[in-house]
Amino acid sequence: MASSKKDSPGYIAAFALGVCLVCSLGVSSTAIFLADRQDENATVDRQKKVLAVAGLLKPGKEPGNAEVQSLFEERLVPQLVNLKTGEVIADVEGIGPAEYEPMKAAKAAKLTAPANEAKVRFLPEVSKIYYLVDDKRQVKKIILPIEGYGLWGFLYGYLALESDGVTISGITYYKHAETPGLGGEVDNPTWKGSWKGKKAFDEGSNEVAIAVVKNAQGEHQVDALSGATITSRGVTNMMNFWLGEHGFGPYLAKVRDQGPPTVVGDAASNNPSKPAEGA
Amino acid sequence: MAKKAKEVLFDPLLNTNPIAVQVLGICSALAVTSKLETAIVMSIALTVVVALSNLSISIIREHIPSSIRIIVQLTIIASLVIVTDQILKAFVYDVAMQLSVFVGLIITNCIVMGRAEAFAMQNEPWPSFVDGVGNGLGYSLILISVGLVRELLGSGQILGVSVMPLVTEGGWYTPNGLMVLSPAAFFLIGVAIWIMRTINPDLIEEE
Repeated sequence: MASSKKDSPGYIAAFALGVCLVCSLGVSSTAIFLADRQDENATVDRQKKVLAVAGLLKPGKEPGNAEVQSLFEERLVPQLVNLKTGEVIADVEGIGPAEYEPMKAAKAAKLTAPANEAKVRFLPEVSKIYYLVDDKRQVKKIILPIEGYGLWGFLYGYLALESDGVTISGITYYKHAETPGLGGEVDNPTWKGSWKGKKAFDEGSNEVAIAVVKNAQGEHQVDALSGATITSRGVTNMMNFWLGEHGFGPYLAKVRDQGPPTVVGDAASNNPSKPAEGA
Repeated sequence: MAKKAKEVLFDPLLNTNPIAVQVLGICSALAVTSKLETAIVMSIALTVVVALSNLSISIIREHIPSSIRIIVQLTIIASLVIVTDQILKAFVYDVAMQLSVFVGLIITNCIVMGRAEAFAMQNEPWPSFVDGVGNGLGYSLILISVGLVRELLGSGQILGVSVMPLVTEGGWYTPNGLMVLSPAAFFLIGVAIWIMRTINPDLIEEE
């Protein structure tokens, strides 16, 4: 091991190459090997949040991946909503609700949202919502995706409404970067529980009424998070946007006028848990 | 060099603790200790990375050209960190989401580089591995104690289980808001350094 040999450029280059080769092999094989599991985790995490906001998960209980997936397929039906007209449609250019990814489509088509306080950047023409259904496939709850800017970044979550399109039954965030203990308290079960039964709109009006404020009173107000004024304001802003005219406003107005919605395009193909008849 | 394996393992817990004595790796100690669970997972991740990086660097130490030794160490450490991050995302997804960027930042954690350069480059693989485990445990000791105190006083919980019921949930404990913010970790680490120096006066610098 003469030092002259170790310091020669050829040796150094060869050594560096060798180290890189071994390391990259290690990294890439782990990544490939674990990719399926990670994707599954991410999907299940989302489904878990939808189930939680629908009130199907008992707090404190950690269901396994398989349990989450079967419960999700059994009770939740994805639906596509045209945000402008408020109509529920069966598919977008042949892509059904299960596969359609509205935000990806909006980003790809560069559909920017009108200026808004929630700082939402992209707004799809067609969005994906979920219906919580019972055994007879009657719609019990409507679950809407929401997102908007808080203090440090975007909060992503779901808002669940009763089938009257007015009464809130739950809220949850699946991704945010708010300060733990302050804005991060959007995850606090007690605070989330305080949304239940609140009314998103005034009687007979299409104006968004729900707001997060200090010393909340009445059926349109939810108590602000202490020490998190900006996060609380962000939550109000995203309510205004997503329940308003650019968001799900037109759709919810239809629900209020026409009564509880029914599942659209409810064929066996949309519901993998039921075997297709005659197939 | 003649240090016994036992000393190599246990010295970093108190006498040469990487956080409280050498004051390394503070950034992650501030960031991931607001809950005990994240502190524990972070401790395990760091201990595994230091131990394995020390081991692998020690094995090839005689073949590393000195002119590129730092970058070689960094490549090995970075690879180990990425692998660790991938494993966390696959098996403890919830915790991995909470730790977010901090697992990746183990790469720049001074403890890992420091042990590679100061110990693994001069010692046999086995003692280097033990040194890595020891330093990882020293880091874990502080991280877990700080995490325990912060979660208990900040949220009235230990590992997510309510110990002191909060006023907001009908209990009696009003949580200390400071504890959930990063500066609290500064105070707690300061207190830990104070205690260690009181117990062991050798640690105090001479005027």
